[in-house]
Amino acid sequence: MSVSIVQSGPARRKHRILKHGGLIFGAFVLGLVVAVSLAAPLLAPYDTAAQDLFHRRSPPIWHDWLFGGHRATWAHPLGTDKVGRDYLSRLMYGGRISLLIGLSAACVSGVIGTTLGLVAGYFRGWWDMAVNFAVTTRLSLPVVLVALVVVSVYGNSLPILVAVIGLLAWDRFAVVSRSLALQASQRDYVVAARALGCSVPHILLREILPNLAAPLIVIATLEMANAILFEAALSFLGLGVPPPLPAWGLMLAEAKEDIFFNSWMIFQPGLLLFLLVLSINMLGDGLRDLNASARR
Amino acid sequence: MSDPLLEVCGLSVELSGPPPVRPVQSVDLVVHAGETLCVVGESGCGKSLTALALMGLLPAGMRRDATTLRLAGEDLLGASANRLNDLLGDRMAMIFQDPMTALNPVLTIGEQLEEVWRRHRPAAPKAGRERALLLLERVGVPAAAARLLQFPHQLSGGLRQRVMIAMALMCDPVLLIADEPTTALDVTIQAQTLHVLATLRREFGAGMILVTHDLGVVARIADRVAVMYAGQIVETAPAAALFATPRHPYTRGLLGAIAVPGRQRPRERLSTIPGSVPAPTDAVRGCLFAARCPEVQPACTAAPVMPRDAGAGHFVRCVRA
Repeated sequence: MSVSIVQSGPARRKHRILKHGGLIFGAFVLGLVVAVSLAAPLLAPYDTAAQDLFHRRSPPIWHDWLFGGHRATWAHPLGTDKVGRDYLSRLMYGGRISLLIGLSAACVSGVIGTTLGLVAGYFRGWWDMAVNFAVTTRLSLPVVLVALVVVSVYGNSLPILVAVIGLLAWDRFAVVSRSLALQASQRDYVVAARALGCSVPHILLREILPNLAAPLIVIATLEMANAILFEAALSFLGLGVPPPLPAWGLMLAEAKEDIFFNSWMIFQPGLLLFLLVLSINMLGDGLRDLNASARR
Repeated sequence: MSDPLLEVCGLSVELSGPPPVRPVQSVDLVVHAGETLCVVGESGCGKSLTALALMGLLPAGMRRDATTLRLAGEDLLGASANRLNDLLGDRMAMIFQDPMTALNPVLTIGEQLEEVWRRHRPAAPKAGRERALLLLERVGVPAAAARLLQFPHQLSGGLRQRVMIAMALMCDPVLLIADEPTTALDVTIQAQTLHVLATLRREFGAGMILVTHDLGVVARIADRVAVMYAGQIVETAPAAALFATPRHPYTRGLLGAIAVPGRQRPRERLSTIPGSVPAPTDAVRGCLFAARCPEVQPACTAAPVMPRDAGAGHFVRCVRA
């Protein structure tokens, strides 16, 4: 007996993805940043800490093209900072730090928030009240101040930054996964899973969590963008990534006295930060749209 | 007769809260191996709650109460929560009313079927796939191997219900509880699904409780019938006896309300039972049906009416029986 089964789903989905401009742009830019960051050891012409003292504050090539002059050198196509470190190399490695912090912080907050939300939504009652209390408490904390205090007490290292950002940004995960778990736990398939003798962890992780995956991924992208910006802000305040690591926020901070005479020093990491966050947000928006149209 | 497969005595469901309400009251049920017991009654009479209570799956806020609850000789009332969880899906399985919502939309059919196997047969995880394939073929799902990789939304309602049946049969349960398994389906698909259910139940030798409000389904499939009214079982009898000689006035009213082509004169109205079901919050002293009963007597409202043995496996909760 031969029965042909129409496989229209994946093809239609592919079409929708290709039609979504923001999604394509976001995925492309983010992909580029990820690729360059991963390949930084291969691509970067210099060590990030290597100083070329004869070429300090050397402007990038494009600066000469736009504004004339012959100050730029092909030895440092994107210029050097005030102590002669190669901007191109530092920007490449800087992407690693931004991505690392964004990704790990989103993971930390995602795990915390989703766990709390699942438990609150499934068990309800006291659990729900406790989680709601935790969320309201978290929302009433001034994030920047808490981060400043923690970093100034425990020092600034990457793990501490990730922990601080992750522990301060789980609220959206918790709220969304709570309301979705609340809905999902009323569904027949959850009762059916209980009727098949499935344990509570199994129901939470295997039956309910996959149904939450799409919206949670969207939130994760947005939280990742937020974490990257927050890291840059902390670095700018000198409480983020410790020097001499080449983080973009730190490069902004180090270039702030050059803002009037060598504005390209602040412009380049700023632009990259802007593009990275924009691309992640557009990717998240695109995924959300895709998800919404898949549900229709 | 041999020991019953399922023995239920005095099963009640209580909804806490002022005042506590009992949507199911002292239900007694017996199911023998290889037997199909149909529980019939109108909407809201407590049939689905009875089924859920048997499985221990009552919604939050409801409490089960029973004097006896034994499955194949094993006492379920004293069993630990872990033991009960082991029994669910393995020894007793449930088929749900709406196949559109009872399958997880984000897991493939194969994953969902195999999961039951892995849960209850961890020793032989590999055999789950073969078992799933075999059962899908047995419940009449065409292209079973391809279906294993599909998601529920790619299947029609009838196919999904067959998948639900296959899922319930994964671990070869001794007792199947089907809660209105055909209500959400088209009439033609209903007939097919019932046929599948009846055939498989016979092949697997399981006992079955089938909850329904459709007397046509009862006539097709039941060995014995329990009629529920307002949370009580008012009559239990072998199917043939119930249709031939209904003893409870409510059962007679139900049977009389069936439209049979050719029996009615043109424009004649179907017979109905006057009045409406007492609310569970109403304090009714005697027979719950007394207010609507055409044959009511003073004794009906004087004291609670207990089920009486009318002989030949026929039990009736009526003073006149």
